[in-house]
Amino acid sequence: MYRSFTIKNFRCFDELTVEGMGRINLIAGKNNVGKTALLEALWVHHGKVNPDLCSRIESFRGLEQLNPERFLANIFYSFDRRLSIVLSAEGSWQDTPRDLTMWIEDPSSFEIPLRDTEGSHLDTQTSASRILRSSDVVVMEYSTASEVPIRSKGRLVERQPDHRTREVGIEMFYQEGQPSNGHPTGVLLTGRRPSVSNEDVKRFSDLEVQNSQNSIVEILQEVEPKLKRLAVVSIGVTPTIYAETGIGRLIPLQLLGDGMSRIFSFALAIASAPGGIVLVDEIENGIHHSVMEKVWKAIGAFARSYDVQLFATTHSYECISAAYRAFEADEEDELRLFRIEKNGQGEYKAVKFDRERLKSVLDFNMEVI
Amino acid sequence: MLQRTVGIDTPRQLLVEGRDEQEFFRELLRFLAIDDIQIHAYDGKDNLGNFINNFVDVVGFDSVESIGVVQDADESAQSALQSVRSRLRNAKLPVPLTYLQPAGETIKVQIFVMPDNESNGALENLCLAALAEDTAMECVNEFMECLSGKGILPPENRLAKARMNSFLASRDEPDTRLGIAAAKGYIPWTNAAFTDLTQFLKDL
Repeated sequence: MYRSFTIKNFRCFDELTVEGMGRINLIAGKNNVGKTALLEALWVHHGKVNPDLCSRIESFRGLEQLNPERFLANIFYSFDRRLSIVLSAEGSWQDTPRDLTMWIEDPSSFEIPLRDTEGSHLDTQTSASRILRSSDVVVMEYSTASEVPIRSKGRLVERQPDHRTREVGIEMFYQEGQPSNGHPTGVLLTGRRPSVSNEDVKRFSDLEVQNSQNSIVEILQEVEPKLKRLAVVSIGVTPTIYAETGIGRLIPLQLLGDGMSRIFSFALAIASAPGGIVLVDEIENGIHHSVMEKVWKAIGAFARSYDVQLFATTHSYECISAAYRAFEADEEDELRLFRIEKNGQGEYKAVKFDRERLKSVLDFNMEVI
Repeated sequence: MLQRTVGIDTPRQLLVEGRDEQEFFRELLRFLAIDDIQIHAYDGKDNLGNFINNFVDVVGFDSVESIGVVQDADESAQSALQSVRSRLRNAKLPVPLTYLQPAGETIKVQIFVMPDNESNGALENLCLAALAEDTAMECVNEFMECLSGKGILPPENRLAKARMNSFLASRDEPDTRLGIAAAKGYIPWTNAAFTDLTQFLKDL
C-alpha cells in the first residue's frame, strides 16, 4: 500500500509530496490544481515501466496522441521534454522505496535487442511492415530497494502494413530486467469514460467466470434494492450489461441511472485489481448525496476484502462528509483527505486530514476544500 | 449544500469562545466601524487547540495577516494566557509573551483574556464593569444582597453571569444572551472599561 508519494516534473507539478496515505484517499482542491494529474502519476508509477500508460493518460484527457513529433510533451512539467520525470513512492511493501524515472531520448536510441523483444502493442505481422513515422523514445527506469532495476524503452510509431492501411501504436521493449508476473493491477477511471465501458463488460465477465458476480450485485443493491441480478447480454454489436429489477424483463444497466453505472464501474475496478490500486476521477459524479454514505460503506468493505487502495478526486463537501460518516466507527483509521494547493510562492503542497481531523473540520464546519 | 461557517474571507481573524461572544464582538466591531475582521467561535476553551490546529489548514489561510484570540480568565487570567500560548505553539503559530503584546511577522498574533487581562472572570465581568454606574445596577445590587441574605446566591463563578442576567432583565427586551443585548444597544461601548478591548481590536 502506498504511504507516501513524490512527484517531480510531471504535468503541472514541479514537485509535490503526499504523505500519510491510507486505504481510502480523497483528493480535493481547486480546479486546475493537479488532482487528476496526481491520479495519473500514481497510475503510471504503479504500472512500473509501461509507456502505454503515459500514452493512455493523454487519450483519457482527449489529447491527440497520433503525432510522433509531440509524443508525451504534455506529461512533462512546463512541456519541457529535457526534464526527467521522477515518481517516488514509499509504502507497506518489502521493497520500498520504489522509484520510477522517465526521460526522452532521440529516435536513434530505439534498438530492440533480438534476445528480448516483447511487449509490443503492434502485432508481429505489423512489426515487419514499413515505418512511416516514429516518435522520440521514452525511457522508463524502475528501481526498488531490493530488486534489480527494470528499464524499458518505448516509442510511438506509425506503420503501413499494406498500401491501404496505416496503424499507430506504442512499441516497447525491456532494455533491462522485466516486471515480475502477478504484479497487482491498477485501474484508472476517468470522468470521460462511457457509463458502462467495454472494459467493464470484460471485467464483469471475468467475475462471472469466477462465480463472484454477486458481490457486485450486493453493492448495487445498496442503492437500488430492486436489483436482482446482472447479466452480460449480446444483442447489438457489442455485449453490454443488463439488469433484472423484477419488471418481467432485463433492462440495460444504464437505464438505472448514471450513478448505478458509476458504482458498477468502481466495484468492478476494485474486484479486478486485488492487491492493487483503483483511481477514480470525480467520484461523486452521478451519485446523489443521500446514498453516498451507503456507497462509501460498500466500497470501503469491498476495497478491504480485495486489499485494494483507493484514490478518488472530489469537489464535493457532501462526498467527504459521507465518507467520514461511513468510516467513522471503523476500528482502523483508513480514510484520508488530501487538499492539493499551490501557495503564494508557487509551491505545491498536499494538506492531509485523517479521520480525527476530518471530524473536527466537519464539526466546526471548516472550509477545507 | 452544507454551510461552511469557518472560511477565510479577510486577512484579520478573531477567535472567540462561543456563538454569544461572536455576536457580541460583531456588534462591538460594528460600533467601531471595523468591517474587515472575521470572527469565529471555537466552542469553548477546551476546543481551542483542536480548532486552531485545523484552522491553520482552512482554505485561504495563507492570506491571513493577523489573528486575535479571546478567552475568558475564569479562575485565573495567567492560566488562561498560558493555555492559549500552548495552543498557539502546538499549531506552530507565533506565541505572544503576554496579553495585548503581538507576536510574529508574517502572521501577527495577539491574546486578550477577559475581562481585563488581569482579573478572574469572563465577558460578563467586563460588561458589569462598564455598567457599574447604570441606575439599574443599584436594583441589581439590592437584589443580589437580598438573595445573599436568604442564602440562595449562585456559586461564586456564576455570580457575574447572574448579575448580568439580572441587569438585562431590566431592559425593554430582556434576554440573557450578551450578543443579543449588544445588538439591542444595552452595552455602553464608550465606557472606559472597553478601552483595552477596543484598542486590541483596532491593533489587530
